[in-house]
Amino acid sequence: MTMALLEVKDLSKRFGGLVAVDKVSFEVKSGEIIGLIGPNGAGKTTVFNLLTGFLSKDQGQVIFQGNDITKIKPYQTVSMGIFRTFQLTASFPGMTVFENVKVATFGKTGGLDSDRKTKESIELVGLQECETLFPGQLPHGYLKRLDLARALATSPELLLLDEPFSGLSVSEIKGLTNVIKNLQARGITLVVIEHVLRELMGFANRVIVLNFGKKLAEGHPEAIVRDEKVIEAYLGKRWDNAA
Amino acid sequence: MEIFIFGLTLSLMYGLIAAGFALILGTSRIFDLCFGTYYMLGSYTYLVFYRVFGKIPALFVSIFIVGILAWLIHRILLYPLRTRPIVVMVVSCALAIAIAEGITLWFGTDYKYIPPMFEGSIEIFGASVTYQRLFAGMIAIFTLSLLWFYLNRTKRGLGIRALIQQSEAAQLAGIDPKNVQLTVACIGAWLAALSSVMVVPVFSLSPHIWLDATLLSFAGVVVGGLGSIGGALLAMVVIAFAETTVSFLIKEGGFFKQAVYVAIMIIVLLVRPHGFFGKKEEA
Amino acid sequence: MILAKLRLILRDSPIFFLILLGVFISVPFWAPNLWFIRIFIIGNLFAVFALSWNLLVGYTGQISFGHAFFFGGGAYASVLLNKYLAISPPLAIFLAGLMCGISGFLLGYPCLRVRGVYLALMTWAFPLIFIGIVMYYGGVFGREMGISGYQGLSSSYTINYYASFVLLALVMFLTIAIVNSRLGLIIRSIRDNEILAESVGIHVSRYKVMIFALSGLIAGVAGAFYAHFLKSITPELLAVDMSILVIIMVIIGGLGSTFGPVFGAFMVTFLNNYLLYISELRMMIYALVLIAVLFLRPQGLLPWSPPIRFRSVK
Repeated sequence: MTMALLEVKDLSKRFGGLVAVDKVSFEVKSGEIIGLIGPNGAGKTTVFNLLTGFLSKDQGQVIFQGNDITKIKPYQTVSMGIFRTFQLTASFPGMTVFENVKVATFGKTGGLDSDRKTKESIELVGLQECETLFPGQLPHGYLKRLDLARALATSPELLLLDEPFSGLSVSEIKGLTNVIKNLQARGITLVVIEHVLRELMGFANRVIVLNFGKKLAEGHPEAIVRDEKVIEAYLGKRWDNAA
Repeated sequence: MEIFIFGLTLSLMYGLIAAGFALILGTSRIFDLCFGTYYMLGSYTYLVFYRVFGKIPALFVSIFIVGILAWLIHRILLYPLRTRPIVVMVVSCALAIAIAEGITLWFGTDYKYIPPMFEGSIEIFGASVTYQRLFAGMIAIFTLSLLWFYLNRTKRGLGIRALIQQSEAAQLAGIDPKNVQLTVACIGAWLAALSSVMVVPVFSLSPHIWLDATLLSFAGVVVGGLGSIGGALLAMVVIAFAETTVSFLIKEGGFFKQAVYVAIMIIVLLVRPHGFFGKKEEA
Repeated sequence: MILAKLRLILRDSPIFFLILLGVFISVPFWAPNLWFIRIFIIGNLFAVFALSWNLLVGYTGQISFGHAFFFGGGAYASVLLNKYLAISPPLAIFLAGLMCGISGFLLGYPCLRVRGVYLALMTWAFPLIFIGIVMYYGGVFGREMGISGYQGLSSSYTINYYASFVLLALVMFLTIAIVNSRLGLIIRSIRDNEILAESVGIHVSRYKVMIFALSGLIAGVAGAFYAHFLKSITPELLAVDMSILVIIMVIIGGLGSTFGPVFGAFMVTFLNNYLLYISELRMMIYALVLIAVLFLRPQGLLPWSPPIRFRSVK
């Protein structure tokens, strides 16, 4: 029984009267790809925010590689080996693609290694030709890749991707899936929030379902898909047409 | 006791100023640093005209002129730049300084005396209060009620309030933001000019009071919260009392006037950046 | 089209820079009179002041509306150190700079909590508090009259000139070095997207405060130097006029570049001195130029200024 890479216990957060996340607990084992799904507003992004310290936790404990990181601040996540992306693509508009990625290397790599790591990350996502361009000049799909390049530049062990497929065309989605599988092959663990379920179910090892802030179900993709509670939560939305 | 009366009247007078500023700010997010300039010009134009037209007509003339100036400034400079609030601040500040320079050139920097509209004083509860103060307070109450009436009971007022609360929805409902914004700029300037002619006789006039007035308005809006006129008024009460108390207790506390506003503003900025009654989130 | 060509020529032509450098280095030799040298000295110092503001605002995005606090503060500090503690001017300038740097460090922390316009308001307030103190403790600070009767750096204009020139050169090198280094990349990322910077592992608060302190230090040194050159100072150095002036200088010249603020500073200094006849309307002229620049060429007058604009709302 390998020790879990990430353990989340009783994570909770409320905003005034609204309970956004309600005693959510789960484990992520090293090398897994976990899908985090649920209807809009279920609290998935909030969980990410809580895990990475962007929001303060009302309750709960987070243990990463045996260390308690419950009180972590956002800028510390990178040095721990955790990186999260955002739902809306974010970038540094005044800096070139190369610089955009290079900044991300400062958390872990230093000096000359930075440039090498930057080049490597850019190549992994296929953005080599765009190195000197500015984010404003890139099409949406490329911006998503830039996000990913940045993520890779931080040499993460755990990658938290928030809706990486949103706004992408079918072929782009397929391309991104390959990159993700590639990442897993390189030993990176991933937790992916997504609504494009067909694709996600194809590569996720396990899936966790959230609804109204609570964990509704957890298990292998095939089992989740058949779970009555899950189907009910998505009310009227059949998973194989969800793309 | 004196503190109470003075504080009360002061709050009313300041309230007038703050209301004007809060109005402009709330509808368009424009931090018009020239607001203090409208205040200053209100008194200077009054000074120029009161001998010619008589006191009361001169008051209306000043208000009118200042309103036009504000309209021009907003129409030509500030409205086009409204998407960049910092730039607006810089430009309006430069303009305010420039205008103050012009006034200095014309009038000189010495403190001028403005004859009050109402001479004499009266004893209330043992404190000697000038009629000017008293009437200034009453006129403030009257004007503020008028403002309240306008905002809450007329169609135009409703439009203004709608724009303050939900800019996009209001625009979708057919309210023209440019129109409203310019109107509000005028109203704000009128309020500034009016309160200026009421208040300045109590103190004294010089070109640099634009700074004090602007600072005061800012403090009011910051403490009261963006977009809330009521909040600004309440904030003014607090600030006015603070100022009155300080000037009564500390000798030569006059110099500390600015420091008081500033200190209150900073504390509130740190503790509650959106003010106590702020409605919208700042971008 | 012409502009683009001009840009290329100037950027790629070291000859232009050498000529400029030559001109500046030899000023004391070809200046028609002392007044001319004086203008250049003041220009140098204002350029340093402008660069300090540029460093803070153009690279970390923290708007300072009260930089006169550091300039004037540095001036007062240095003068007082010299007058009452008999510390020699060069050392006094150095210490004043240090004090400003420390104040910048301390003030930087509360400034972290506010953004944008609110930050501008808060920084606007700082010099006002200082003025309040200056006025209240009139005995020491001299109230509106200010202070005079302290030592200057040197009685020779030439020495003053070269000292100020060296200072400017140093600060320019510093700025260029920072911008092109790792640190530069880091602070630019903070300016571009703070949250993203935080999430890629950058300790945003630490850098913001660091640059705030550095900016304060540089401005303080400029102010102190200015004080010792003029041999008399007044609270004007702390006034909102000074804060706005540096903003205007940088905007006119171009925020975010290294030469922009320098250009803007010199332009303002020249306008300042050659408009002596309309000296009371100086700000009006500045305001007009500012407005012209903002509407016609917001990135500043220098041909090769980078495309930095103030954050847009909406």
